[in-house]
Amino acid sequence: MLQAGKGAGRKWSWRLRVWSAILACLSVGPLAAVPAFGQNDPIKVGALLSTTGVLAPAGSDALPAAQIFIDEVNASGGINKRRVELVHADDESRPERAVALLKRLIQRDRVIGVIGPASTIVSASLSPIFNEDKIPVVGCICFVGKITPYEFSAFPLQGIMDTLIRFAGTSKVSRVGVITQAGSLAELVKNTQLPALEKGGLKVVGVEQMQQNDTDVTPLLARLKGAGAELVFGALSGTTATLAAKNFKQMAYPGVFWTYGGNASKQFIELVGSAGDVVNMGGYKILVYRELPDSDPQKAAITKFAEKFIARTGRDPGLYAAFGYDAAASMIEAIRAAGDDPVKIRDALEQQRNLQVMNGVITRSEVQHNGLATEWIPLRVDTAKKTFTMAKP
Amino acid sequence: MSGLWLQVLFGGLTSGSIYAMVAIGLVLIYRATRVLNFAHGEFVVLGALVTISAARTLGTALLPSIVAGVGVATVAGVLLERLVVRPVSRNPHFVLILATLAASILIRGVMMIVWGKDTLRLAAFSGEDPLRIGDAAILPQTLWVIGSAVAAVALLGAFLRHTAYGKAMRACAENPVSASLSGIDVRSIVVLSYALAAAIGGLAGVVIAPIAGIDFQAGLLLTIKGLTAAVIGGLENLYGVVLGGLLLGIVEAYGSAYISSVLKDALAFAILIGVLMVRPQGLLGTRAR
Amino acid sequence: MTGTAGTMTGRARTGWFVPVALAVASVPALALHGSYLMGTFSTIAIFGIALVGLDLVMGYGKLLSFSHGAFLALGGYVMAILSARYGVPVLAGVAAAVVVNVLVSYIIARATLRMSGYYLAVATLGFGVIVVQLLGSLPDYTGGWSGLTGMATASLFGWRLSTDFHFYVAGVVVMIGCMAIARNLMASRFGRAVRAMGDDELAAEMLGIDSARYRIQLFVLSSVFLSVAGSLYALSLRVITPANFDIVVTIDMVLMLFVGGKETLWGPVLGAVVVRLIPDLFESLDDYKTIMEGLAFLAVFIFFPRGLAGLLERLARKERLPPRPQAHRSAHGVLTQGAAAADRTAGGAPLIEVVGLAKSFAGVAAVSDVSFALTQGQLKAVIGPNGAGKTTLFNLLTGVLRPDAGTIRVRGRPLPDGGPHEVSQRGVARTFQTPRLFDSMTVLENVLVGRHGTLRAGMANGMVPLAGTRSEERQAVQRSHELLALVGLEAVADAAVTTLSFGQRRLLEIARALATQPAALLIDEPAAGLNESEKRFLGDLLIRLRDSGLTLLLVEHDMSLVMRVADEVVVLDRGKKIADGTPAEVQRDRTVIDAYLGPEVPVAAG
Repeated sequence: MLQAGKGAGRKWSWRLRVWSAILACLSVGPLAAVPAFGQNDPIKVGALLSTTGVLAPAGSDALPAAQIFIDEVNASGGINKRRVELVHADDESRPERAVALLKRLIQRDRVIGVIGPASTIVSASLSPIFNEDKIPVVGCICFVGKITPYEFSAFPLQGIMDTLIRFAGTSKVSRVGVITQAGSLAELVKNTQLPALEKGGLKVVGVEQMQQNDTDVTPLLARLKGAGAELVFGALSGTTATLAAKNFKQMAYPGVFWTYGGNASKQFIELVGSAGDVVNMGGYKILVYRELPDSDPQKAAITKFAEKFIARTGRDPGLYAAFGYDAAASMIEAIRAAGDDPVKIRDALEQQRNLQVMNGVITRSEVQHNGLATEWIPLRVDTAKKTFTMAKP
Repeated sequence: MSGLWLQVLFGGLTSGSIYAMVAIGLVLIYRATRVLNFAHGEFVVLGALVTISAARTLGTALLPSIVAGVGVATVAGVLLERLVVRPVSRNPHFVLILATLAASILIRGVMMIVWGKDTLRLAAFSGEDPLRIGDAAILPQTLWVIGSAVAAVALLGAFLRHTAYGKAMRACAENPVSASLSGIDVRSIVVLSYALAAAIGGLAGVVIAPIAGIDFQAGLLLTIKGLTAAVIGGLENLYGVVLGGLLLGIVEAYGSAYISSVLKDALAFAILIGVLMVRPQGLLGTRAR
Repeated sequence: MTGTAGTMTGRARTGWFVPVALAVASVPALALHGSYLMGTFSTIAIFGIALVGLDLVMGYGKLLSFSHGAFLALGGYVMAILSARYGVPVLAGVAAAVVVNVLVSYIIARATLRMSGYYLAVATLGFGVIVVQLLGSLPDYTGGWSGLTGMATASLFGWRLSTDFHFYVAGVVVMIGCMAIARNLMASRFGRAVRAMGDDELAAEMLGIDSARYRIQLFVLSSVFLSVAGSLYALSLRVITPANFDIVVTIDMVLMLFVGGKETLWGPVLGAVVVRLIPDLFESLDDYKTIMEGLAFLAVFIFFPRGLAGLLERLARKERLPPRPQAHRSAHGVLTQGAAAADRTAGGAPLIEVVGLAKSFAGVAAVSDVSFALTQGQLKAVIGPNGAGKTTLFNLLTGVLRPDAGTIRVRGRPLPDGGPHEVSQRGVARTFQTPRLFDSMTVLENVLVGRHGTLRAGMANGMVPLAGTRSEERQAVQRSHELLALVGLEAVADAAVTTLSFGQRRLLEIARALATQPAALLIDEPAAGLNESEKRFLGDLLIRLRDSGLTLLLVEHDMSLVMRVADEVVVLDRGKKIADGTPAEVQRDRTVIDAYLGPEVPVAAG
């Protein structure tokens, strides 16, 4: 078969090769294209969110949510009669691609602010660019380490531990064992959350670290058990949290399990299966919006958003959807207040006080660039109905 | 901490059996063609995802869903061989490996479109209640995985030793030129190897999925772990592969539990390098240069 | 097709490379100045440096090593830590990083020396994982997973590197410099040895090339390039995190190497351009872009397995000029040199002495209790039925196999046990039953590899050839031409080895073996596959070689040839020696006739 085609086929495949090469070269041209001209009218905001790659689930939720907010703004006349345009760039969960795309957003698309990214894997590399080019960013992450002038976020950092402390109180336990994911999450937990726990009167008796792709963490839980932990704090996000919960139940761990409300999603319920009944979390209103009492001031707004989100994507909004929406809200508010000068927008972001967003209220300052205070809802899993439900107090 | 070592052992067996199961298909293709199939992990994921779709969306019972999953994975394996491997087969091995790498990107892209980006789950075969032994607990699904790995190796071994096709496969692995001179159609044996490897890979995905869920990304890491397991055991030997996988899982578990959970992978690889320095052909490998 | 090998005979034509490369590199500099793509291209240029290192190890060295991500990381982190914590200037930081990388790569090279293929791949992959995890888990030293910032602005000879354009220029200059040095190196004695090892390690060893030593040197050298690239990368990023060097980056670099074209040194950077820009190409397809990326890479590997560089070479290649008829070079000088070497032997004592040699495989004795001697200037033939142990005997004599019992002495001293390359250095050369030539090289280059042991240039002289090295190379080329004239291959000196006929391949292998200036030449079945006139030429050649003082040991099946040229004949049957004497004696020996020759023996012709 290989011999027969060689004579005649060779000429043809040679041409094919040359043409492919030419085409490939031609397509590089558009990349260095002149920036789109005559587009002074829309206000451009960048959305640097990973919709493929490891971080895809987070970005794929945040993006439509931010888009929904922008659409709402435009529907009510935009900002000073100008349309707002969200320019999305997918960094494929890779830091070096994020760097290149951010530069493109700033130089070619001329965005005056950026929403995203959704993880510290990517954001660490972007920090110098935001600060040097003076473009403000509202991200869906929290900050470990120092605050920089141009980076903000709409991530609820305060108060998470208060919920846990309250929960420990009602469960009458005080010895906490922590299982977290090695990496930047572990650093965050150790630097900010554990001291908060200790301050709240709880004793941290052990800290175990797992990896993203682990398939079994029973040994780590066994060590916590040996150290006398009555409450296992799953400082984890995503599939790692479900694994920890499942192993917790599998071992019939003598104690209670608590994890971040950020994990509350349909996928979590799916994966955790029958182990759902051991799970306790402090959650966000978005996750149980259907169950909120009608007297809740935010129920109407959240429900409206959720319906739009379901219409657009066919699935329930998760945590990152709310973050995306809130990041957009914070950014747009600042633009309304300050115009389209990025430096002034930055100032406005820093000075936001009592801004009501879907997840809570944002109050920032020079030393607080997150600033989102959330009203926490204690949640449990209803394994029969496969939904989250508000825990009885 | 009395039960800790046992619990750790069970944890190690759980992950180790997963690695072993993935490694079997890798070694099969290696023995037939001396090529590392970078796309093998994608077959594992594909088998799991198809089974999940069949079971959940179409509501079919477990066994037919598994057949569907393994079947689709097998077809994918054959397609890989015919469309990717064969056109490139005249080139040095390097290019072949990269071609399978490119194919793995392609397959992953397709899976992302079809099944989305979330992690999906399959119900455990015999329930979720763990078995208690002493102070420790082990999932019944883990026993399914170990059992499948052992059964796969045993059946494969018997196939290779006693059937005409199996013997032909061994002949091709030893020396393709003389095999073809003896009248063996080397091409179809290679296709058979890929089909068989993909089928076993798909089955691996099916038994693994209930433990930790599966998503479109999982393939690359599974391929690497499987390759590591195969190398520890010695690439030539199917039993070595299973041994290698279990050892890898156990070493990771003990390293994680007793030394440092942060450096789990680093520790496992450090030990692997140590093993290879002493025995460059793996534990049960036969290549004594 | 010779690829770039054809341009590397003797000296690399670096003359045109640097200006052309600078011209090509100035295109992005002018076109993209001020554009956001400048940053991408500065990274591409820096990766070009790293890819030179990777091409050396994976392309030329054919080692499946995945440790390059780790060396890149070490280069980056050492630079970053020294700069951020201690304000160390750029050049000192780069130098320090290189030192660290040299040490670490040496250790890794030694540790993985006996590993090959996928075993090596996994071990080096593991090393990469270890480095990345260590970097992430030591936040006090490395900033942990969040990374390290605060590097001082890089300043090179007073010129501050602060924009993407600066880094592009710096990156390009260093990259082209590295490419030029590496090109010189691959055209030098060192490079020939490496390419020979990559083509056929055993044949290279038989020419005196210590493959273990070269493998280590190559590995360490490549880590230098990777280190420099890593340091520049860290400076250009201003924030360095472990995620910048993870397995995705490692695999990406391998993709770049092959898409661009391995074994070219300048090709992989084109691959970097493609790999970095492909996501832009398909971006508008959203989630479907992963599929398109996979398809694009597949298309490259199926239709352009030699990469972009291979494609460009094919487009640019002019018709090969017909070989110029050379003035007949005297072959006389060749042989007198060989004789001079042989004179050093003490007169009369056997050159090679074999006593009680034995070797078994899995219980079956391939060679048992074989003893004979080879005196200097003798042409001895070893004959025997198939499976008599002749090739095993050769493998024992050349250090490929270790004997189970018995001794082998060369010039009175026992055979060294460090492997074939040590045996070659002792003065024993060998050809193989099926000629093992270096297919990526020309005819002349193959012979040049044979001159390896007589040349002295090392890695440093290879990279920057001074007058002494250049004249040494010229002499080697001269000698190689003479040897080719001796075997009648002068006219095809610049041809690719793959175009030779079988008979020509045989003769080339003999010329190559002669290039090592051996005291003894072991030839394995030289007449097999030759036609009558070729056999005649071969016989004449063997006699001339013997007459010039060279000692020859021949394994042969062709009786007429043996009877014509051999002084003495040893007969083996099933591993044992059954006769030893002149051809006439052996012809008449009863045991020999029964075992092998059969009752009718062809009388020696002429």
